[in-house]
Amino acid sequence: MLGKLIKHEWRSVWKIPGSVNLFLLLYTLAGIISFHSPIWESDNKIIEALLIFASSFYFIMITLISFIVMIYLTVRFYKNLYTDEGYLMHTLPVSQKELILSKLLVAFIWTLITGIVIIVSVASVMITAVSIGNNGISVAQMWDAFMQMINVQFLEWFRELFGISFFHGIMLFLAFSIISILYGILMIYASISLGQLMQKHKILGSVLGYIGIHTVLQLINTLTLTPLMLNMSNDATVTEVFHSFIPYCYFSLGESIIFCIVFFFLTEYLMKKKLNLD
Amino acid sequence: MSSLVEIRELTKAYHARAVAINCLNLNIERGKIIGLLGPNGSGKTTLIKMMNGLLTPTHGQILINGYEPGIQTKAVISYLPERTYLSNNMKVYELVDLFCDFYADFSKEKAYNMLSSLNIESSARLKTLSKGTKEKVQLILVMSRSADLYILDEPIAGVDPAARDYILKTILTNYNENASILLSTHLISDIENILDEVIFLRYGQLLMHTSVDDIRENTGKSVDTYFREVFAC
Repeated sequence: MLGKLIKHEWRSVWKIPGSVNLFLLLYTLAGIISFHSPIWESDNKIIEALLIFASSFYFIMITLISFIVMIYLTVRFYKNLYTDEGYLMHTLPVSQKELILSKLLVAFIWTLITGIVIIVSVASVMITAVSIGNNGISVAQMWDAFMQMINVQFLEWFRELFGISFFHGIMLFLAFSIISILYGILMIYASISLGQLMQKHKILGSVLGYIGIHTVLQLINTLTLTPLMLNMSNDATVTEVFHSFIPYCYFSLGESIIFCIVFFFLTEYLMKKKLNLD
Repeated sequence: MSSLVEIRELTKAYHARAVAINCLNLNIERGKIIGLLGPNGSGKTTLIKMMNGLLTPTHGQILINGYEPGIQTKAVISYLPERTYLSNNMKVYELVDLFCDFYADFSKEKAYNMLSSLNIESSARLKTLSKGTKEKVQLILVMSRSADLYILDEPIAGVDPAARDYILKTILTNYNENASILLSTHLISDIENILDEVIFLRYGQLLMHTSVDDIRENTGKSVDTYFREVFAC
């Protein structure tokens, strides 16, 4: 049944995040093509104003797109499970776990895609700009130059600074990114599920729930990290500070994983025992 | 065979002073069409929601086919809520696919036959349909299953009398003899001809559970008239 839920969730969700991402990609492509045209050297005031507008719009889009996708996925979760549509979803012969997992997976994939699209967009704009600024060096040449930077000396330097290998660092970064996405989504699910406990003002309840959870977690985070910080003496060397960064990362990662699990089971419990549809 | 539904000492209190269902005991047998009747606020919808696992009882137990509300019971109950729960962005055939995917007892053929006899386009998007048509689509989906128990909450309130007749006919022709239908409504006179039994609820308690024939024989009145007497304000 999980597979079927995922299929239907994907079908009902893909249009909005899909078109937003496609739009960003097309806009980026248009921008890159425009870099090769002479319009950027034009003295015409109107064209200049248009280009400033187009560039500003690009920056706004880059900043807002993940937010738009997140809001859309949040509204979808709330609407599909906690409004009238919930009467259907909660009477399907599936478990609450499957309901949450199907939504989590689809939301995770779209958040990930959006993140990758943003990176691809910014990177291709930058690569084009660098290429044009350097008399049209090719992407292959840039890649070679970049790979030369990651040489033995660099890897040694990285290991000395952080106390772990570069590869290890990359893996840690990836794990962090994945867990942060799951953490963000599950925290929203838990807040909405808490908010719907209210007889009226369920959306307000969800927002308050989110702020509440956020505050409590900040507090826990500060309380648990303070001892780690205090361990470090005032005359710690730069190396010591950087070396302590990695255990801090692991600790933080572990903490996020625990919170993800708590959010998941809290959402499941509320859905199972405290469902309160209007 | 045991009862289809067994309800024991069922209580639901929203909070201390709002007790919607109060220590209710009830058995529902197979092969019956039962009217769940009572004035507003008597606990009909609360009871129905608990049977469907949309609310958790404060106390007591509901057993359907021997199971507490959960995945097993949801697979054998076909539930029509009193509101339109269908997503406006979906098309009729997408809904048919959805029901077909999740309910093993769903018959696509039945659904499309009923849709075409009511002239509902399967490619129509839900938001383009009138409220009454949406209700018809919902009822068609629900009645295209061959469930053990149909729970219909106000199934005819929003549709015109002609469609009402069609719906009642649909209900009668689409359920098998081992299944039961629990039907909640205010429009008693419209449906009393198809009822086998009635359940009267008042203040969340069972006032009466009896056969329609008994009411007619013992009081000489129709269920509608009798209801008006019992619940006279």
